[in-house]
Formats: sequence, C-alpha cells, structure tokens
Amino acid sequence: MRTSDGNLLRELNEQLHAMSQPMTVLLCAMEYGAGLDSVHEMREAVRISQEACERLRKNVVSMQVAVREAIEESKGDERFLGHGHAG
Amino acid sequence: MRVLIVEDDSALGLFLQKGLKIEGHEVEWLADGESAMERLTLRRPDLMVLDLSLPKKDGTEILEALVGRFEGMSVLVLTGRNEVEIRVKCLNLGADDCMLKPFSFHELRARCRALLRRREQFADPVLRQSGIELHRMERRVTRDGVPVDLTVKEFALLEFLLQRRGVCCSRAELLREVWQMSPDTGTNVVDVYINYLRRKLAAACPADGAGGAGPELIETVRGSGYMLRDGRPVSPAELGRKGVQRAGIAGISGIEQGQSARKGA
Repeated sequence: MRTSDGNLLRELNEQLHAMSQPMTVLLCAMEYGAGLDSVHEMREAVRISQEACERLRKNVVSMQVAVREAIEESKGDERFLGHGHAG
Repeated sequence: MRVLIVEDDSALGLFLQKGLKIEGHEVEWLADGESAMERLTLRRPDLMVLDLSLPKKDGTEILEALVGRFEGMSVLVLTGRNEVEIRVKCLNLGADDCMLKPFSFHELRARCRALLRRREQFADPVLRQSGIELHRMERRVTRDGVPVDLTVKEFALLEFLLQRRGVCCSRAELLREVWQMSPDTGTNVVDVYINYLRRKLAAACPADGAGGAGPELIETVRGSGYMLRDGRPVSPAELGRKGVQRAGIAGISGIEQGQSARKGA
C-alpha cells in the first residue's frame, strides 16, 4: 500500500469518526423529538437536527474532496507508469 | 438513580440529559474529563455515561484513574471509534458496556436501564413498598405478610413498577420492558395485566382498592400510563397537577373493557 493510500484511509477513518457525532445527534433528536408534546421542545429538537445535518454535510463534502484528490493522484500515477488507456 | 453524563458535544449531552430525566433519574451533564473527575471524587453516581473523546482528560484516562475504585458505579462508554481494541480496553478497565456511535437513543436508554437493573438486583434482592414485598430470588410476593400468587408476567410487571416507584411508566415502556413487544402492536395487554395485578393485590389487603376504603396502589396517570405510589400521601392539588386519575378498580375496568371491546371490534 502506498503512503498516500494509507493517508487517505486514515483521513477517511477520521472523517467517519467525525460523522458519527452529528449522526448520533440526529438519531437522538429524531427519536427524542418523536415523543415530545411541547411545541417549544419540538422546535428545539428540529433546530439541533438542522445543525447536525449541516455538520454531516460538511463532513461528507470533506470526504468527497479527499477521495477525488486520491483518484486524481492515482490517475497521474497511471499515466506516469504508462498504464493509461490512451492510444 | 443518579446518572452522570460526560459528553463534550453540547447537543448530544442535552438530549441524553433530557431523555434520562424522563426516565425519572437525577441527571447531571459535564462536558470535560477534569470536571468529571472532580465530581467523581465528591460523589459517585449510580451510572456514568462516558464519552471517550473528551477535552482536558479523555474517557480512557478517567477509567484508568478509577480502576478498583468504581464503588458500585456502573459505566457505559460511548465511542465513535470503531477499533475493537479501544472497546476491549475500556471493558478491561472496568466499564460495564460500550456503545458505538451512531447509536439509537432508545437503545441507549434500554442499556442504561439494564445496567441499573443489574446493579439494583445485586443491591437488594427484596423490593418493598406500601406493605408489598417482592422477593426476587425466591420469586414470591407478599402484601402485609399475606402471600400473593402471581403469574410470571404479573410478577415481572410488579417488579418493574416497584423499581420505578413514584415514576409514571408509559404503556409503551411497560410493553417494551415487560413483554418485549413493540408499542406499535396496539395491544391492551398492559391494561389487562394491571387490572389482574390490582385485583390480586387488593385481595391480599381488603382495605385497598376494590373494597373502596383504601387508596389505589397502582395509579392510572391519565393519557400516560401507570405509577406505583411511592408511599407518601398525595394531596388533591398534586393529583391535579400530575393528572392522576385515582380510579377504583371498577372505573379502570370500565376503561379497559372499553378498550377490549374496541380491540374485539
């Protein structure tokens, strides 16, 4: 395994770990919110859910960027090694 | 029961605190490891819900500092790391259970309940309330010394209510904890068994419930569920606030018969 692959896996693992936090908040907010009678508390649960969604979205975007960069890097390696499909 | 939550994520900490308060626990939430250590030196809770990634002092360090000094406190570890070694390490250090994030709030509550139940079983093999004695090991119940013959489910239901005395238990909760059934099943088995239990407990104490002279031991909390009185007298004003329906057995039977009839229809 190349160093860059190892770095990518480590980075993805970190991102997954970072995603677990807002995902837990989202799950808990939905389950907790489902049993609420108070409109005020329900609004608060929705607000916190929205924040968790935003945190999740940012994590997903970071992961996409990391994967895209890794793919670009591997394409460059293939071209350098002459394994490309050109010709 | 006293529960300490140590979680640095404010949104999650808030939900866990609110959710466990609903269960009737006294819940404190702290956001860093050092505050948690300070709190633990002052007073041990019955259960600590401990996140591993914490500022100042992480969860593993807290566990290491507590080795051999848990003093009956149960520990439930929360972690977002999926490496099995971390969970094994926590369990070896004395944690009772580990949950991997993301987790379901219902599952967390159920695990907390299980840990507290296990702790309570070790603590007291006999549950006592208002003349009722429930002997967990011998599986027998008496009221004012008179034996009460209960079926397995009636026993489990009474045991659950005794553990949560003074706290309203919803039908959904009773269905889930005593019958291991989903609340979506739409059954009225809880109401039916509460009725059986009331009759049997009342029969062992003629002054109670059915006789009309004594107060109902298992109260119906209108629109919510049932509650075993915690022994102290309840004022009418308090009853009004709680929305407690102090219905006699005949009244409850009426409600339950109505539900049964609807089920039948």
